[in-house]
Amino acid sequence: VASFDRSAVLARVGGNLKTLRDLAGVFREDSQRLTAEIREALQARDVHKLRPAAHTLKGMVGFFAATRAVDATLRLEALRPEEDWAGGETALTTLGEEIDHIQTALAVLCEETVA
Amino acid sequence: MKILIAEDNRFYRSMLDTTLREWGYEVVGTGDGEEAWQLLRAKEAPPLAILDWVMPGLDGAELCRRVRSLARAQPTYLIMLTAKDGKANVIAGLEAGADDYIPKPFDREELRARLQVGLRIVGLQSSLAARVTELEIALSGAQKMEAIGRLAGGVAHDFNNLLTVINGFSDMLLTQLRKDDACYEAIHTIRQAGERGAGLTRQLLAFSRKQLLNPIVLDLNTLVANTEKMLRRLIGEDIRLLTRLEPALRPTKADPGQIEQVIMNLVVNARDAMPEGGEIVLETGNVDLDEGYAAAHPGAQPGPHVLLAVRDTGCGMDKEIMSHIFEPFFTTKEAGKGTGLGLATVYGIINQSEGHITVESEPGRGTTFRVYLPQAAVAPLQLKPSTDGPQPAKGSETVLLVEDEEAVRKLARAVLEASHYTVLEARDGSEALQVSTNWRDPIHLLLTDVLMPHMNGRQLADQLAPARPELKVLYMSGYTDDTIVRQPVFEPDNHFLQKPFTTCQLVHKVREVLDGNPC
Repeated sequence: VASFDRSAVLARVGGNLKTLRDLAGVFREDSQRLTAEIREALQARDVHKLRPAAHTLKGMVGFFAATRAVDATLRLEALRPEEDWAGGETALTTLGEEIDHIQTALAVLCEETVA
Repeated sequence: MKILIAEDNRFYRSMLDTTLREWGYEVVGTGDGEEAWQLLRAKEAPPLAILDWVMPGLDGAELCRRVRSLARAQPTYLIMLTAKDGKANVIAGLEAGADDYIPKPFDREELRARLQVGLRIVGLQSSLAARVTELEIALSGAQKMEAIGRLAGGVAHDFNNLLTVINGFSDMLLTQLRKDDACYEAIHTIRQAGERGAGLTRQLLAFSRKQLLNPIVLDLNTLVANTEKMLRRLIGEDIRLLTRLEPALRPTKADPGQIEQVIMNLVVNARDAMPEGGEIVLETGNVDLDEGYAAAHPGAQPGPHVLLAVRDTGCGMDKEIMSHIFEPFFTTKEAGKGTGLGLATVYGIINQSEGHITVESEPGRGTTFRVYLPQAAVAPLQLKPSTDGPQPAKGSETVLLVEDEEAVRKLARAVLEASHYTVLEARDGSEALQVSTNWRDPIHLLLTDVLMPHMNGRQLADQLAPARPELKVLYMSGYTDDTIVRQPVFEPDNHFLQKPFTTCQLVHKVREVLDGNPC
């Protein structure tokens, strides 16, 4: 799985698997909500809605040391009204893929540790 | 320790909440900047807050600015925890008032260390703020006492002039009247009331530190031992009096009569706190006050001191009463049972002696007064018991009397003339110089008030000296405030008569000075 640093993630929760599972649940729900907000903002070409959602998501994916996902949120956060919004769609696609990867990796990690 | 997390990102809020609780902190969390502001401005605000930058309502930077604008002593340590990284953002966050700046994603151990640093700093700030508050309270108490002292001193000065006249003329009338005269008893009562008034003004002057002291190097243990017998009589049989005297006690410099007054007032105060009986302990010791102690106790000076502690097992008092006990006329005794001047007198004497007094008490747990007097550099003198002076004697010399208060001048003139002195009278220094110029015969004594308009007593004496080198000088005043005491008037070879004086004291002092007896 790309862009996921297992050891970094475990260190950030101090090896506490319960915390990790709780966070995985929050990440699943909030990343879906924020991705949807970004999509709507892109369609409406509304940077005021886009930037906070991208910023929040940047912090979350950054927690997992997911560098490609972080790059995608940075591109979204930096979009200007007069710029190429198609680049935003590309970034969102990448972000969506990376979030899927993170969720998969998280699920594996949680299962592994439970086992 | 409570920590506020202001973070709209539920993911981070949840993680911080879990982590901080795991580390033993109490956590209050919000995702809204406005709500965070309400929590931070509250009286019981958390001492440390972790703030996200981008939040609905108020952002983290604005929160920092608002917290820093609060005028309160209670410190709050602010950590910005944000995905807004980069040097410019870090600088902007710190400039907004954040104490620390941690970029997301943060390192767990680094966060823990930074929290510990923050809480250590906020703990130090809290201690400092509490200390500053304590000092401010102590300072305002000292300033209040200073103001009351000035007021009391001014009142005492004016009363002393009045009492000099009332008592003096009463004395004169009493010597002229037969005891069976219809007026004798009435005048005698006036004289007694005047004497009580003089006692009160003496205490007021003591409180306002405007007494004329005669400090000598003395051994406090000797003083305590000398007064012990009298103290036992004062306290009665239900109260045990114990003394614990430091055998190698350092010498101190003070007026022995005034320190005896201090001991007596403190012991009487202790006695009155123990109506059912109890124990009073008088203790002496050597104490070195350090800079920290002096800084924390306005009026105290660092250095070696002699300690006199008076401890009782009486009813004690609460903090509210303790904050007033040295104020004149403050008393917890029922009306008519106390003047409220005993401890005020103690306070004044100790302060004027460059010492310092503290009180420690709790309701039901007794009271301890601690008097600190500076150590003297030389060995103490042997204290001699006081003796009455010789009987007033009459004379035939010429006295130049200078006094701006007409009634006092009249009294002094009448008393001196009754003792066969020739009295030349002047209302002030200029008039006195004129009188001296016009008087061809010898003037043996200048009896002058100290503080007068245009020219004070000392200046007058200096101006008369070249023409009359043999002239002796006796100063009188109802006021011995610092401005006078600093003058050479009160050097050991000068003579001084404190108002209110009795006719007897005046005649006695005049004779003493004319005969060249030591002051």
